[in-house]
Amino acid sequence: MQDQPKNDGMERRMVHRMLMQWRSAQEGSGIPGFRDVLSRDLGDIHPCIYMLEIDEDIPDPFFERIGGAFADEGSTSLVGHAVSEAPDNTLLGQAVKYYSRVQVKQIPITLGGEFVHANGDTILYRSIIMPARDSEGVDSYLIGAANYKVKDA
Amino acid sequence: MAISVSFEIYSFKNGDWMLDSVHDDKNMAIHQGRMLIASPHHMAIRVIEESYDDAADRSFSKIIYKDQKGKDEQKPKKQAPKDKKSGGAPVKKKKKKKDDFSKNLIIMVISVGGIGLGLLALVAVLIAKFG
Repeated sequence: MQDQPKNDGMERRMVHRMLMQWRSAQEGSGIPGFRDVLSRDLGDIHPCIYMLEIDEDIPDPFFERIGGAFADEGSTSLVGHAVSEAPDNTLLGQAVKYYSRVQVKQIPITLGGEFVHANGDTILYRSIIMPARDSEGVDSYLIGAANYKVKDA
Repeated sequence: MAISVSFEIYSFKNGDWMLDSVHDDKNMAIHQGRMLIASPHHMAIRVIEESYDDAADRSFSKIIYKDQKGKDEQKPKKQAPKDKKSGGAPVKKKKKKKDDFSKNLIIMVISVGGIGLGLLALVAVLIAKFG
């Protein structure tokens, strides 16, 4: 889940690469379909991805899928659960906390920060949330990705 | 005294500035801006730094990066040609202007002289004819 090192002036951060994949899936400059984004060759980003589904009949979006990179903290069991159930002291809980801004503005937002994980480690993380459409063109998904490193003591 | 900073990328589309994305990292926002302007869907890009002072409930915005299509193509026309050997391109240009002025002055003197001679000839013809 670590970012690749920077070389030859290229931006190698995972959130940047994920955003470039999202932009590549765009037709014109609109919001892409989630299948168009997730079917791309995402490489090492893939396990860092989660997706929220927005259902008009349910107040909170819920986790439609959660990548394997969140398994260590037990977050993968939150699939099908409301976003509000993600604990604050987990990477998923931190990475998803600004989802409502993306939902309202319908644009990608990147955010990083520091928090004390449930396991006691101080974590530095970077995250991104992007809007996505279903096959009928409705803005009903949010694709998120996050990675982290443990802060040196 | 917590001041939160974010970087908003705006793209000029259909005659209006549209919010494209928001980042918490300056370098990433500028890098994204540069990539967007290289794509065919974006005519102009601005990255705006938004600072919000939580305690004072005040916000401050400033443009930290802007670019537009066609800007680079126009630049070379405005710039003087780079000629390391001459080392004095502007002076040469000035001299050329001076040369042009001299040429114009000579043409003007010849023209005025010609017109004057023509008038004198006309007067002479009139005197000869009518006494």
